[in-house]
Amino acid sequence: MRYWRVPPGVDIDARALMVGLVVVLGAMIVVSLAIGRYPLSLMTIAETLLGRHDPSQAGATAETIIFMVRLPRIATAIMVGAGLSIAGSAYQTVFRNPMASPSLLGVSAGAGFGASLALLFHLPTLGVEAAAFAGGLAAVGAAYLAARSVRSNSLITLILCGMVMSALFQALISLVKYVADPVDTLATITFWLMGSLAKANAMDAATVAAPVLLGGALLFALRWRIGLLALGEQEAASLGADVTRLRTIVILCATAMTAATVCVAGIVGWVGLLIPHIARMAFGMEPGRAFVATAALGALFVLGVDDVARSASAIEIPLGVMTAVIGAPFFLFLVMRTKGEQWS
Amino acid sequence: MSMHLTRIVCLAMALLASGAPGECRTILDMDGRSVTLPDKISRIVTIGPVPVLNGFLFAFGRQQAIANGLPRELARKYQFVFAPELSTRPVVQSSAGLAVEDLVALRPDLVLSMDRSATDKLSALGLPAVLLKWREPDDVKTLMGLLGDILDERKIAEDYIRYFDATLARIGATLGPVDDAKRPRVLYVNYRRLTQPHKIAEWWIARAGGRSVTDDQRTEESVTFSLEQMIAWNPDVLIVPDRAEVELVKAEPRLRDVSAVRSGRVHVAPGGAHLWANRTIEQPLTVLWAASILYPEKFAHAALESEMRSFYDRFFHVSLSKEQIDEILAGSAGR
Repeated sequence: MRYWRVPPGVDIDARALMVGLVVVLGAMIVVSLAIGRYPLSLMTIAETLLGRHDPSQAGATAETIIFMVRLPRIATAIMVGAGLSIAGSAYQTVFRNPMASPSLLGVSAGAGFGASLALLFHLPTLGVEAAAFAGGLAAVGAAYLAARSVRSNSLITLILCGMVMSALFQALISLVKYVADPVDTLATITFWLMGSLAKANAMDAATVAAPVLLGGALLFALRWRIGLLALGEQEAASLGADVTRLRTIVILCATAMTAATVCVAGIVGWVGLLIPHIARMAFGMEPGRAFVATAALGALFVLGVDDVARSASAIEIPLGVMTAVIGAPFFLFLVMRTKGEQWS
Repeated sequence: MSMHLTRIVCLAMALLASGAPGECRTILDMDGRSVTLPDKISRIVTIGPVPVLNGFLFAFGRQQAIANGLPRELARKYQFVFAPELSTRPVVQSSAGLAVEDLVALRPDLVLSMDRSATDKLSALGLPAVLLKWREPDDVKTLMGLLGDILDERKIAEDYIRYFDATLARIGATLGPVDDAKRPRVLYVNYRRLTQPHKIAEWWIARAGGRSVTDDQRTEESVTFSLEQMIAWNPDVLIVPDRAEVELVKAEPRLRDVSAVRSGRVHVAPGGAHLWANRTIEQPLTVLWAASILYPEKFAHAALESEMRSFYDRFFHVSLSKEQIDEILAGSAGR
């Protein structure tokens, strides 16, 4: 898989680029803190962050806005972006398929189905999250087994099976909604599936951060061995990797991360497909570098999109709509740019 | 194929339903389509926003004529208080859509709808479907005029229109001129969804002497916003659709600095035949209620109660007890 042809004579200093990326993300967080519908001056923000706000009503409100509204929302957006991108990248490596992503493999729809089923039976929050994870796992497992049983080497087969699973689980979601109590449960399920960061609080940030950080750390620690998987099953095994165990761990981590993002933000498409490609194109295939770049770019993308969603106008724009509007054409552009050579 | 079959069966049933050819007449509905109706209308089906449409019929004293029941997700206690017979009627719609065959089986003389595509679909089946529109606040007067013609009850329609204008004029006179800067900032919000659900709220809030923070001359029915936007608006008065939301709002630490929450001015919209805050025949009462919470010194609570009693008695022919009045004002318990 070659994504980026460095023109002869041009040497991109990867380390500098990585540092740049982290600086840009830091700057983006500061900018995100400063923008929003509630007018706050940079001075007030700085004072509030340093704990030196004035004791008036305005000072108290500034504290609420920064610590309880903007920071949790920024943290949630970063975790959703990083989580979906890392998950997408992990699926792409483990399935050796550049088109694999949480939504195309049916993981998002499966997680949505698991969660709506849990909501139907009035399970507590933890139960809903566990069900989302189980649903996502069922979807990706079924897609993978179906693709294997087709015995085709085409990359499209897995994606087709994933789309079949996605359609199946979307239908199952409709079925759950159909049998749900229209007065009580239906509204909860519908609202939950839409997902939104409009009310994201510290609890939401923690809900998505825990699986993303844990799963991310595990995947980062295993990055070299996971890199072997990209060579193919036999090659990886001959180099000493326990392919089955490794693959299981990667799928479990990526699915837990996806399910967690679905739990707070609903089904957000395109991030997990688009960002890993951009990261590899810009920062190369070296596993550690690609991992950090993927996480940082994913965080930047969703944070930026959410900044627009929450501050462009009084009306809140749904996150999933914006990522699709930006992601779909951009992905098409990438496919055309690479002349589709690794897509067949 | 099956679509055609359904149509043929439905048409046949509709033809059978019409039975002996009685006197017919043709009216124009609010979309300008001509609809042929029997002279005497004794079976009416309401589809879509059933409680809203039922409310119009209550005002004509036609509770008995409503042939369909209330879908569970739209049911409100006071629909059954105003029309107890509704509990025995078959339900012909759900969140999944219309049960067209059940609807045809009711052999309606008139089908009322507020949705163009549903009206077109039922008209194509030969059903006497009439489209009612309520886009602008005053449309309710045109709508009641049309229903007066259809039901041959022009006097009642005129009476309602007179009442509508007189009540609003009276509220305006009691309110007197209000300086724009002095108007309390009001937000009507479905807090669970962070949405202002109906454009009509911009109208009744203004008529009650308030300034709706979501009023930006928009054309969409509803707007969704962020929590930060809600804090930035800092409304003096919050109105929510059910009692559970009052608790949600009061328990939310991030809203503690909002003026309405600090001063305890979080109110539940009353619920009678329908939620008063949305489009309903009870809209003159909505304006009076809103004025009474925005300007309690000018609009006495007792006057609101007696106005309610007289409204429901005059138009719905139901006399309400003090407990029932209180219950309507307390709004729905929520989900």
